[in-house]
Amino acid sequence: MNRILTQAAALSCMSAWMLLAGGSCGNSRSSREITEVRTVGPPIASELPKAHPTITLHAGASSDTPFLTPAVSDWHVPDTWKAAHERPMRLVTFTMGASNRTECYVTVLSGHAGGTAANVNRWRDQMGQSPLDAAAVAALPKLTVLGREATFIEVEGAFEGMGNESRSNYLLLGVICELDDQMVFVKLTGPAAEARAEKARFILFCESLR
Amino acid sequence: MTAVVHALIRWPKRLFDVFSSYGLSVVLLVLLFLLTYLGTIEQTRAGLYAVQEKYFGSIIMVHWFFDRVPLVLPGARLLMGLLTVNLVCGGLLRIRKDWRRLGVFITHLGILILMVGGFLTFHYSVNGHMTLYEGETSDEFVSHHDWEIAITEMVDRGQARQLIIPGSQFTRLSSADEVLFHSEALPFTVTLRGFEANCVVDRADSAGSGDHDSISGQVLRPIPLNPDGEQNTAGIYARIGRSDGVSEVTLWAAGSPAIVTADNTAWRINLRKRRWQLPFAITLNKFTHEFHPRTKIPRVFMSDVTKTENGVSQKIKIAMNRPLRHKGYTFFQASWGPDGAGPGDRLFSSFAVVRNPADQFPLYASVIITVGLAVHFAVGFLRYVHAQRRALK
Repeated sequence: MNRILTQAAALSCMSAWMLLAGGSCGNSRSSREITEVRTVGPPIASELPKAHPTITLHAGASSDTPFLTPAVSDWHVPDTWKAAHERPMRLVTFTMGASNRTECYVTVLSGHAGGTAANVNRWRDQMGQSPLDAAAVAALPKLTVLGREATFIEVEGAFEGMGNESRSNYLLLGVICELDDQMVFVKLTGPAAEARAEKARFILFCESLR
Repeated sequence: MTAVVHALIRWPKRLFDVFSSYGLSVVLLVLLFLLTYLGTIEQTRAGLYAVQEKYFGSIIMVHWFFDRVPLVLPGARLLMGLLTVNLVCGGLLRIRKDWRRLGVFITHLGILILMVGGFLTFHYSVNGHMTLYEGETSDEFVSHHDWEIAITEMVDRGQARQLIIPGSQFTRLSSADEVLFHSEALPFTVTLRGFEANCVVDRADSAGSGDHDSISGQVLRPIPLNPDGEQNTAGIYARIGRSDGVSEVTLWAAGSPAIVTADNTAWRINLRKRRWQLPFAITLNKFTHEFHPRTKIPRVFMSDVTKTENGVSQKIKIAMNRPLRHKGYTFFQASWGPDGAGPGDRLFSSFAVVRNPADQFPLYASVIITVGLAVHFAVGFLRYVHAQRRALK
């Protein structure tokens, strides 16, 4: 009798396990209440404990800055561009061209992120070119982006990304827009011929940001 | 009547005998080996994530030989479930309980802990990433594969409410299924339908899209799933119901969020990767990277962070092979950027974050299995010595 009870208990466990292992059945409810609620944004200063570090949310890729009017929340996508998967610190990424090596992405950073000149020269350095002085940076062409004057940069050279081999005969198109408390970067890189063919679309895309 | 009773008693016994048999163990282990082999080969073309879901996360699956010949196999989820039952029935319940088999019993117990750990990991673990620039702080991490819809109140200052619809409640919705979501905190309802795991936004009058839904001249056109599941761009249709009417929007993960205004408040609705809140905050103070001289081979990647919890701060270093473990969360140094960063550039560091309630189960299981094997070998050795002595007398 004990053996039978043991066996029955084992089979009951087996049945329960199979139900669990099989996962729950789909829920066919047609109406649900939203139960998960969070609070976002920095805590009000007076509620922070003493010596608590300042909490700032990183802007841009997460688009989770409800306490600010988002710097960039919409744009017009050129017909031949395809949206690529989400990447850290990028608001949006697009690929274009037959080679699949040309991409354009938008990044928004809080603060001045080093300023326009430093970032222009950082991009020039990525392309193996020498830095420009302040006067040369100021003389670069300008576009109107988000209602502001934005610096436009076009650099050809050998593109060197993180951990990658150097890719020769590449073109970098970039726009840097300084806002009051954020910086918007739009960058397109790719094989020179392919990237150059996208220049007009790139400019229209940058000017469509809003 | 007696025959019926005997039959009713016999069947559970027969089932128990089957589920506790060595034969079943062998069959299950052979099938697991076969799945592992086929999945490893398939991964080279289908990608890791897709293969894990198909071969190891399923109950039943079909493997195609040369893309033509189907072979129906039980998935690893079913096999592991049956193997656990087999282990309990045969390895723990049926096994004769005497001191000679003590080591075997302990070893089986260790294996059972390992399998329970696997079950808990499969069902209850979450993983994602946290990416911070130097000086930035965050108390959440982002999933690699799971989705959510965030409905965020837009305010000029202070804190805002954010309502979350987790992906488990909408990623199985076809274009014919819809679910209405509501909350007292929201001045409108959101009805979702037609989730696409990977899609692009297309014009409704484009060739090939005539049989899809259209909202404001746009449709979500499904495209083949990317082998790397992380690279899929999902989309879903949403109908916003307010007191003054209904409007339709498409939510696309790579697109801009939808803005809804109701009762003098604006709300942003976006489809994005799932976020998980932490009970503490992490601040990236400095990221250090070094390469071996004259190479691009990484030597040191290390993040100096501050963990802040309940007002108490603690400085910690997270480096390759030196993760941070705290309250069930583990932070691994995963990557960094931006591309082409030079000296003095502001760097970001990316951590792989895992929350696994069974994080230490493999360790416990290993210890118990080691003890079990040691006991078993010791018992065997003592029996051998005893037998030798008796033979000499």
